[in-house]
Amino acid sequence: MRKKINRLMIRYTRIEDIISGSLHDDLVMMDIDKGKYFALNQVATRIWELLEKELSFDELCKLLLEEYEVEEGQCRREVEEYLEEMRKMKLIKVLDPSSTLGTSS
Amino acid sequence: MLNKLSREQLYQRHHLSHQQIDDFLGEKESGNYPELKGQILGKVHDFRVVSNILFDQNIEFIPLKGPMLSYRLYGDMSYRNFGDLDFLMDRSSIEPAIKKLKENGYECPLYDWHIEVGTESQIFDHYHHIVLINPHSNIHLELHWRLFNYKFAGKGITDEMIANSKTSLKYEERGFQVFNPEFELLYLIIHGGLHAWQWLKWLVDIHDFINNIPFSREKFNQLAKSLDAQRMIQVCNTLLQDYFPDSPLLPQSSRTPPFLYKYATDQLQGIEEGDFSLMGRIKHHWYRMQCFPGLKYKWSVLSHIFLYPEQLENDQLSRNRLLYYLGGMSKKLKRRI
Repeated sequence: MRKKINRLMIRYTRIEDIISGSLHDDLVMMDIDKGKYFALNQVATRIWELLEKELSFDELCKLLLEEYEVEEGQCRREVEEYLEEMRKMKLIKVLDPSSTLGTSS
Repeated sequence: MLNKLSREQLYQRHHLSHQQIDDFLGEKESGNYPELKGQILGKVHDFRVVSNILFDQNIEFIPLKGPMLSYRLYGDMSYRNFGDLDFLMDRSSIEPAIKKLKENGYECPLYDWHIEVGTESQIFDHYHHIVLINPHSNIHLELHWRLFNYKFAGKGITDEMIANSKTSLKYEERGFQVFNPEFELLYLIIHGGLHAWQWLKWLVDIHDFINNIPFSREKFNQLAKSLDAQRMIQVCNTLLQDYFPDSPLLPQSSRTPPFLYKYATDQLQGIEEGDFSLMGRIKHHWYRMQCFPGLKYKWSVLSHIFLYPEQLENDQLSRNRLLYYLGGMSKKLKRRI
């Protein structure tokens, strides 16, 4: 129960000072430290755009379900994967108010 | 006329980005070149770093062309290709800006900035920028204290004119000073015109500016008149009609000078960039002399052809003004003008 409540309190937002530019429906981003670029596909780009504001996982899924024709379960699974990948690439911040550390990215 | 050029020519010869090329050829190939997009993003990063350094030092500046123009035209600093980063600032800010940039790893490869007695007027009167380089990214940075060396309408673009032509543009929570649309457009036309529209990229800038950014034709006309820029506008309009037949045109009061139009067309259509033979250089200098009316303008062009070295370099300046001029002439003659 505590784990479920914690998850509801977790919010996500993008890290703003990433250098990025659009390339059709994709977003190309630059990892300056490594001197490498990478591209987000259309869905990841849309998640990135939506995370301009802090959103919870459920809020994010709800917005995506309004835009994409996809079954809810599949949407939630894929969003979870995208968020984890973006967290590892340090593109987003995970704001967990219940964590003693405050935020993690 | 654009669709007669290949993507390779538009990219290599005319310096358009693949996204711009997609726009004009009606293609969707730019996604095949993500590494080139990444390169531009790297330069955008450099722009951000330099801007932050200048902001932190409270140095007022105006970014010229480059990523800020790309942002104004397309909402994306990396949509349009650019090479150098150019910043305009007051001459009193040049030395503190160089000092801080050097502390952050930039180098002055051509001229190690210093002002001695007798050289200050030589630097600020006869040159308009200094070059710095980031040795890691190899990006060239130009700090300008003047937009052009030439005296359009007898006086050139004055500090007062620039002060009256500024506006603010927000980018990532920072308020950047930029030129207002009318001045920016005129600056781009003059810049492209003086370079004889050698790169189609510059004409594309004008086309996209007119089509995407609202501007006051009345204010533009007034500015153009104050700088005697009608010939530049006439040539630009005729080239716009050639390459973008459906494009709206700039306000124009008389016919296009045939020599200026023919020379610019030859440059645009040339397979190579520029003719660096002796005859080619003479033609180019003659072209520049005709770009604006007035003896003061023509003298300022001639002075820069024959007397002043092109770049501010360490061995150029001399306390003795005669030696300085002779040094400039000798370098020019060595290069056969």
